[in-house]
Amino acid sequence: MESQSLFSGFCSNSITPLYRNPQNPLSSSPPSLSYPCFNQSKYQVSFENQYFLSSQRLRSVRRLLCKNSVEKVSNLVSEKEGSKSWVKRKRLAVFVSGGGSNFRSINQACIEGSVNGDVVVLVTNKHACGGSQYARDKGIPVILFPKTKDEPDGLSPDDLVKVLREFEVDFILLAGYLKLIPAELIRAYSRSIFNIHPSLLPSFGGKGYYGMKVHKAVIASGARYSGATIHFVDEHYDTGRILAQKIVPVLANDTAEELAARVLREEHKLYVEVTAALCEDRIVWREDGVPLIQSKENPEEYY
Amino acid sequence: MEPQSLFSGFCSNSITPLYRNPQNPLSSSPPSLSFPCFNQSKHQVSFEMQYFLSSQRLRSVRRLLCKNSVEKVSNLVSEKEGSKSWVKRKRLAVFVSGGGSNFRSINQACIEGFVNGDVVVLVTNKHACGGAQYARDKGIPVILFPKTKDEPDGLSPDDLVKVLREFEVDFILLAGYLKLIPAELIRAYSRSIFNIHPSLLPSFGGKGYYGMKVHKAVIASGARYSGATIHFVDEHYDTGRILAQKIVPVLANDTAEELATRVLREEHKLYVEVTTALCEDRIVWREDGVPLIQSKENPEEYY
Repeated sequence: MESQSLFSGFCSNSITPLYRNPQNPLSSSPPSLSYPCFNQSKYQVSFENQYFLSSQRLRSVRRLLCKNSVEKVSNLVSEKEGSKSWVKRKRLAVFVSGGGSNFRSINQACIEGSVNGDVVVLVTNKHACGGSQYARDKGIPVILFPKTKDEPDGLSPDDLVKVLREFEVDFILLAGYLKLIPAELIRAYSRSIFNIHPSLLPSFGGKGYYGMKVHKAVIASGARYSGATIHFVDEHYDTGRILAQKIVPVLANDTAEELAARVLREEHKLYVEVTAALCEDRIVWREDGVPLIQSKENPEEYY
Repeated sequence: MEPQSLFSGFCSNSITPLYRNPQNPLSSSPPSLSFPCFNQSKHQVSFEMQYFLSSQRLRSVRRLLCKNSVEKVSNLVSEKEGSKSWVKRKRLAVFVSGGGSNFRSINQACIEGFVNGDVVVLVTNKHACGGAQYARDKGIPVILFPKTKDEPDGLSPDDLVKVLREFEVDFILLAGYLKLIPAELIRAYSRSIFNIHPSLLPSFGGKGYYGMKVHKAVIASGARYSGATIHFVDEHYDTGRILAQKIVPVLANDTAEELATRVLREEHKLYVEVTTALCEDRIVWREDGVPLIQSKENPEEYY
């Protein structure tokens, strides 16, 4: 099929190759159980470890990439009723532009098991940023997007969608990604893209409000409270429905740096909390379209 | 001088007269000690009870209105150092368009002595609103502003400024007043006009965001926090520097009415707290122009 030629067109010497050379077999596991190896450190996760099995609705069609034959794998469906249900382990894509502290925090939680998911790919617009260096150290494939003068190896929007589909990404988490998400991606991943913003949206959000500029604006306004907001992503900056917020006080003698540090601590906690809920299928929708999180301890409660 | 002719032009049968007929003496107290009577219930406060005397900087010039002679009274200056200083009792104007629950709350606090001030005049754009009726019951003069088709007895901006000056108003508190404050008033009362808004500004503020519309917008956005904000007033809706805020949570099953009630409770507490600080000269200005409140218990602390 086309997938191999698509990927070999993306590989370049300046970034970690997405796929190993298809002539080298990836593993000695039976083809139906192994996933493609995406980088040179031979990071590989076998199929059975990736999924919790649902006793009721297991389907056995699977898709293999980087092989000559392709079989489709359907998603295992989670069973929500009853306490002994299994939920599919989610595949996450994280988008960063900078240091990636939220990415690290989420990745760590995935590894430790507090999040029922894995970061399977990192997308960045800056190939040398802290987040992408950390990703390479951890064996997580790095994709460049978008294509610009400074980053000529970047993908086009359509190619990005194709690649994410091939990675079978379930959710996209923006964590300090400064480019606008293209409409093609939003259409393809409707209700599956999240962003974190270091203020209590809608205050201090929108184009131009990023990083330290947010905290400076908060202090200059005299606002006595700030915080972090996680929201769904639509075609504009910071305008999608709010999913979760955490508050911090703004003190009379705060500098922007002190406020930023206080907010960042809450961002890390909030993004891990929300990602945990996401990967356990605990996001529900109110009638008016507002997303709510179902409490884990008490499924009758929402927040 | 002119004040009498100015006022007789304003008096009309449809609102409480501002001044009694100058031919009737207002009281039997010596002219130098009494203030004019502003309504038919002969509510009168004698001069010596209105002011706490500053032992260090008492000046004895006074202004009398509604009499044939006018003498100027300078403001008594408060002494901030030391715990036994006296602060001039402040004269407050409150602007309302509706029921006036914040007005009632502030007025009550003044009467009970928590606030070192008195509401000396109510301004409204609706002569029959709840706030205006309450004012008349309490003997507080009511002024109509602005002049419109529905309220032809309303004052012009310049006349409003003149009247407030003649009432020797120190501070203007907007408490559910829905008209824009004219530039003439803002220039005349620079840094002395305050507004309360039922959200965490800058979120859910600006033209069109008033009353229940604010709370509906908060709920529709998915915001998990709301609250009340008190800010200085400039030429636009809800954009002046923030002076104080109080937070409330927004619950997953809130109706707009439930949220409104929760916010209103905090509004009352906040406006009384801020008015208390205002009347004790505890508002200070940070270098960047943000107003802070000096703590009463600990003058080294600001919030």
